[in-house]
Amino acid sequence: MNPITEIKESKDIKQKENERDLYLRKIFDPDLTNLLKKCYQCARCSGVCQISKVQKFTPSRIIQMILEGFEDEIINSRVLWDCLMCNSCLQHCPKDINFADIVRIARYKMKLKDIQNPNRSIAHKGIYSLMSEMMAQENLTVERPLDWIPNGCNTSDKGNILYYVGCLPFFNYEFQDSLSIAKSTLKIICQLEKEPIVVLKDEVCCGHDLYWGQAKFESFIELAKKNVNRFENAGITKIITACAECYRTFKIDYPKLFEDFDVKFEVNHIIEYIYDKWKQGRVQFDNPNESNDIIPFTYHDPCRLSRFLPKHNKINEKVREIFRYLKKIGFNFKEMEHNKENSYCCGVNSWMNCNEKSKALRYKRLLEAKAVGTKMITSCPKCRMHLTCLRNDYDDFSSIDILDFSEFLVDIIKVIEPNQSIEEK
Amino acid sequence: MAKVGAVLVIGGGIAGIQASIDLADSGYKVYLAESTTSIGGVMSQLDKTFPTNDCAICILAPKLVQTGRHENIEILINSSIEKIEGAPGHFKVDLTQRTLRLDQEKCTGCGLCAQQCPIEAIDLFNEKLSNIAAISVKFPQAVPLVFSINKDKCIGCGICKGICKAKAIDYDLQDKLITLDVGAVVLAIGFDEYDPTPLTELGYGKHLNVITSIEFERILSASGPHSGLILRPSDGTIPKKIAFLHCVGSRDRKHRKDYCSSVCCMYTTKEAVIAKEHMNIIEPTIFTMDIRAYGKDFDKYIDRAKDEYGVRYIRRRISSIKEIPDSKDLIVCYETKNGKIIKEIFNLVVLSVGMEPNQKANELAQKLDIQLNEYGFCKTCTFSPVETSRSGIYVCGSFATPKDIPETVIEASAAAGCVNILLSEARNKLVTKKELPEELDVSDQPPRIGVFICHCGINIGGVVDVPNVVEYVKTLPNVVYAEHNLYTCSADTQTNIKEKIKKNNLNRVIVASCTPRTHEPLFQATIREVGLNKYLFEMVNIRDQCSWVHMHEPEKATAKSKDLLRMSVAKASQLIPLQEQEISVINKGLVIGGGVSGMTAALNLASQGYEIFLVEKEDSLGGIAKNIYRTLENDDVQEYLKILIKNIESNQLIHVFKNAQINGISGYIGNFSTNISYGNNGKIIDLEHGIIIVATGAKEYQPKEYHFGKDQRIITQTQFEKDLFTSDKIKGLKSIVMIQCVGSRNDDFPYCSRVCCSEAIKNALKAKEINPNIEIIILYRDIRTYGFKEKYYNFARDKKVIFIRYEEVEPPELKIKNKELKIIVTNPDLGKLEINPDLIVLSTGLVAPIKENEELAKMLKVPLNEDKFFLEAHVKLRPIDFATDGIYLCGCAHSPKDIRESIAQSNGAAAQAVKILSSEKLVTSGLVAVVIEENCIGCGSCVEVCQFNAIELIEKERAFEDFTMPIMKSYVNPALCKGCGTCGAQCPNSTIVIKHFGFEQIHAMISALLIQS
Repeated sequence: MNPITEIKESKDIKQKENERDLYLRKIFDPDLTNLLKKCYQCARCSGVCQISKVQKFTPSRIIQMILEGFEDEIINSRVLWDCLMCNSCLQHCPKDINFADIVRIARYKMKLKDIQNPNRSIAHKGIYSLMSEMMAQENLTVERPLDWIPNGCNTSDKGNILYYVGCLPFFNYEFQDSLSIAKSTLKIICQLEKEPIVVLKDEVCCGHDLYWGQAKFESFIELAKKNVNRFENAGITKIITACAECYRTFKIDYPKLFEDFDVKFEVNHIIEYIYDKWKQGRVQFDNPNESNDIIPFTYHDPCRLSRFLPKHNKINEKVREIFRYLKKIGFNFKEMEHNKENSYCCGVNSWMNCNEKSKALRYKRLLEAKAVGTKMITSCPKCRMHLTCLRNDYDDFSSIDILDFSEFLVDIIKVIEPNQSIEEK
Repeated sequence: MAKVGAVLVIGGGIAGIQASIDLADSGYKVYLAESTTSIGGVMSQLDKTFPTNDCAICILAPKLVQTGRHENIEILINSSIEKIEGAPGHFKVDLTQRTLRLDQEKCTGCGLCAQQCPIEAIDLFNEKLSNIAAISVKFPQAVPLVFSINKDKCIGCGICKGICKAKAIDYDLQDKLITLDVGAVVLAIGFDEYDPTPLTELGYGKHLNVITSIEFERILSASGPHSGLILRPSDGTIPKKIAFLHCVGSRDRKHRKDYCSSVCCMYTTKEAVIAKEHMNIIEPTIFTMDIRAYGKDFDKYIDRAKDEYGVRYIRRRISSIKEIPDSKDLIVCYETKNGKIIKEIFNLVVLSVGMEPNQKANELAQKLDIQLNEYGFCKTCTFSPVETSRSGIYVCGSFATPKDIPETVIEASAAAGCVNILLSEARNKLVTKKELPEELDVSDQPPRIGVFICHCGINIGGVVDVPNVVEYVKTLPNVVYAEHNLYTCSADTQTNIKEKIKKNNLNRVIVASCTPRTHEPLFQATIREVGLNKYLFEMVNIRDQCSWVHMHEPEKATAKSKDLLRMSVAKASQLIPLQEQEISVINKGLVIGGGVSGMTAALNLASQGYEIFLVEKEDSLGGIAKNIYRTLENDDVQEYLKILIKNIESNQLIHVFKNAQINGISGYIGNFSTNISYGNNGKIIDLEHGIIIVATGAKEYQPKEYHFGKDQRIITQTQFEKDLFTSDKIKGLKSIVMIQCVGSRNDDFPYCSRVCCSEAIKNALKAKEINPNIEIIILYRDIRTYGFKEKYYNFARDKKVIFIRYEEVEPPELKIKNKELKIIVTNPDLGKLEINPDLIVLSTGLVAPIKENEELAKMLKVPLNEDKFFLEAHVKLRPIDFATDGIYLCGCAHSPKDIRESIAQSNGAAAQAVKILSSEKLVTSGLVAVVIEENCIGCGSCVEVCQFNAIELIEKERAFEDFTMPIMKSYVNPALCKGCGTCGAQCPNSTIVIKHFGFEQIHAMISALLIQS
């Protein structure tokens, strides 16, 4: 009688469901004990857990309960919606237990229970995760405005190199100047490349937040399929992004679904991209300001570019190498007390739980930043957004300028034409 | 003899409604006598209202409902006054209530009788443009919603009697004689539209396509004869060209209507605009003399009509209309700017008829022994605008002078304010409070839901299969009882509901019937009477949403009723009792501004025994009135002011602070605290008070134009007035030029200052009185002597004052050559004219003190309009209040106005304020927003969107393991919260919960909808 819940049985749908299950199994292992059995209960995780500094949360106890057969209690208690998924625990775990990944899977199980509605924990009324879900709809084609593309940038809808913009144009409505990250990034890439850079009008979300935050794996899979499809159609071989989350998702999570993803596509974060060009002698740095004042600045490592990458990925060393070099042009790089893998969290993961606890974590982070510099650079749009939100609430922090890596570099980067560099050599 | 705490209000239009609500809210028993079968008056007939284009019935209907269900108001429809005896404080009034031929108590307004009635009568509400059954209700939103039988048309066939399930119809019911004991009487009988039949040259009644403006208003209305389509009477086609003729029955000495009806310029523009909005092909043309857009934001409305809607204004009155026999189109002749006479054909002509005294005014005046003025309106005085010639009988609205709705509402409150002075000792004597049993604690009990489903005669039952729905509801979880009633709202059903609650131990109650807007409070009161918290009630509207919209689809209507009930049951299971808080009230008031307005309001409140703090920024009281000697009507302002100041300063309850400055205001309704410094030494004091009245006034514009300040022969009207009344300076003068609209109606001050035309005419007349040979020329754009002020415009013309019109684009030029003043003015008809006056008087406008108003508005957290005057809660129906409770507005702080109007608004503000001051405690609603503090990050977006200033950010400290953090937390003040839910929708963290509409409750409803039945 009720058309909303009435689903027509058909062959088509069956087939799709089978395919989806195939993908689902690649990212979802229902047996949590399988993943936890290595744990020998040293409880280091609980000692370093960031959220536990502002509220009661003990990963070791949770693991213990699951291992001893009380998984249902943990699932029903809703406690895992609170996890920051920052993976500070993984960093200190002698057994390399990936707690964030376990929470992710547990959340999927929680969501399957009717009462476990995470909607109230999603900040900004869930609008952004809703948008991601909408983009995952099969029949829905996204049409993004491209009027933000700066003058002089040579872009196209087909080509080798893709600038993957991500959510920035959507954020721009609520978080001022989010687009300036995209503009800065695209400007830099276009200066360095002769060929037009691909910016897709129908780009869809990478699915990061649905994967980690709301555990909507089905939608994540749909998004991943759509993305791969679009990349292939456009002839892409190289993906550049300025977003820590998109980077991690393309680098680590998509290859889990599609074995050949990393063969087909080279994924670069803008840090790596600039680092390589710098090493190739294609870029130099130059301070346009004439003043001789030394500007102290610091760098906030996003979890997705530190703890969430394999040890061999040296992106946080590369960025520091650039920063240390900048001393020559009047920027003095200083580390905050907690940095690299030990970096403090911006307080929110995948739109989950923005509250006074997460605000406290941000507050703590800015106390550290204030102690060392007047500029704080980060390379994750959400970190920038969250930390800026707090900065705006407190007069104490108003002196700190919070910038994205691209926004910081766009003014001081200087492109050297290839033949020019040969001549100089 | 003790005074009677009851008031009779005669007339149930917007004036009578407002006066009744104000009086009933401040503790008097009110009898509202209405001559027709429903309250609502002319406003209920209007399609839209200017200048906001609000739908008239949409904003009026809530007031009708409020009046209808007010426990202190008794509405006596179909009644007329017979006799009055006694003195102020204790009148005895005889009324006749004519029979409706049915029992008002029994009729539920279901409408079955009208559907079956075989006889048609003329629909007077639709201005005779359509028909209606002989048994009918005046209009669908009528209050009280009872039917009545048209005695002249009814053939007594008995069908209605047979079909009426409530057994209400009784052909033999006789007229009733009612005797009332009241302390005061308020007259609000309104006006009649002028009948243009005697103006044979316009052909009304002869030419089919000549109609009156009120008829056109009904044609525009969606509930009118053509459902909002604009069709002309002769052939039902759309009239492409419509001419509107101003001043029909106004400004017409010959027909003894030499006053201005005040509202026609504006309502005609509105009708033209709305006609254009309805059908874009219509080309409206307005024939007018002056455009009298003198009210707040009116000129902007006229500009919009011209610029955005292309309404054409032609400054000519039309002398005759000829009909083209075949097409029934109409030929209108008029003179163009260059003197040519042209003929233009229109498809429809609308006569903007003026207001004339209510036809019953004479008879009523005799019965009540009150005087009427020369035009047949109620006689009042400038300084007592709502008092009739008989003490204890008050007047408001258009029975006193023609006026628009906001001014009517202001006067209605003013009348209530003046009744307060007379009767305050009898307050709360005749209103009774119900004793209620203690509330039962149901918090530990599982939900036990009782459901009562209404047939509403056949209104619901004729479409929805009600017994079937009852059986279905019984199967739903937590429902322990369900039944159906013929009329769930009837008195015997209330008793039945209470019995069923007790018998079945019900702790949640659902009624499925009509709209919660009218009936929810009734059922809430019912369940409260047996000890259930009133928020344990849920109402489902299966009339409007099922049987009405799915009238021809009974199965679907029944299915939808089930769906809605399933949702409601799911929500009811989640309902929790809510507590209403009581907040104490400081019974003192703060009045800001010591001009005539502020002093009037202060005296009104003090006369009722309330302590008042009156703060004035200058070193003396009186405000702008200190510069005014006489009014246009020749009342002595200085004498009045002297007495007023004496009364203020001798009143023990009024504390005057002169040279005062407000440093800060905190608190909320009932509990404000204001820090002021005052006196020569700037002494500082904190004042505690329960209400605030803003009466900060306006100031005279200091012109930059016309060499003002550089030549002594160029002065403002204020200086001129002083010279006229205190010196003989003008005796030697030969010629004076007055220039109107200096500092008004221009780009900097795009509004009319309302008083300058009268000022100029007043001073011109005085000058002529002193020196009859003096030549006075007034250069004007429109002469805006609205209402009875028109009389003095005529006087001035009679005394040979010369009026020359100029247009905004070509203002008069001043040249000084060899010390000789020369004015060059361009008249649209005559061209350039030169005048050599001895004196130039600039009619300067009133402007808001911008800086002071901005500072005060910030402290009060109330808005200003574009012109920096204070902005009221609603321009039409709440002209005295702010959206923030407990703060009221009067006088020129609201917009430019004259003394009479300021006094009225001040008494009105006092009437609003006394509702708070006279209550010991205020009860907050249980239905408010609450912040879950833990999740609040203090972003402040809720503060920004709250219209009622109910939310503030409070700094708190949070301590964590190794650091502490200051953090802002949002707090909703339940005393100010209206439960509108905007903050909850805005909160990015979903951490604001609207009680009774919580996340779980709404989620339960949606889940219930999605679950298959």
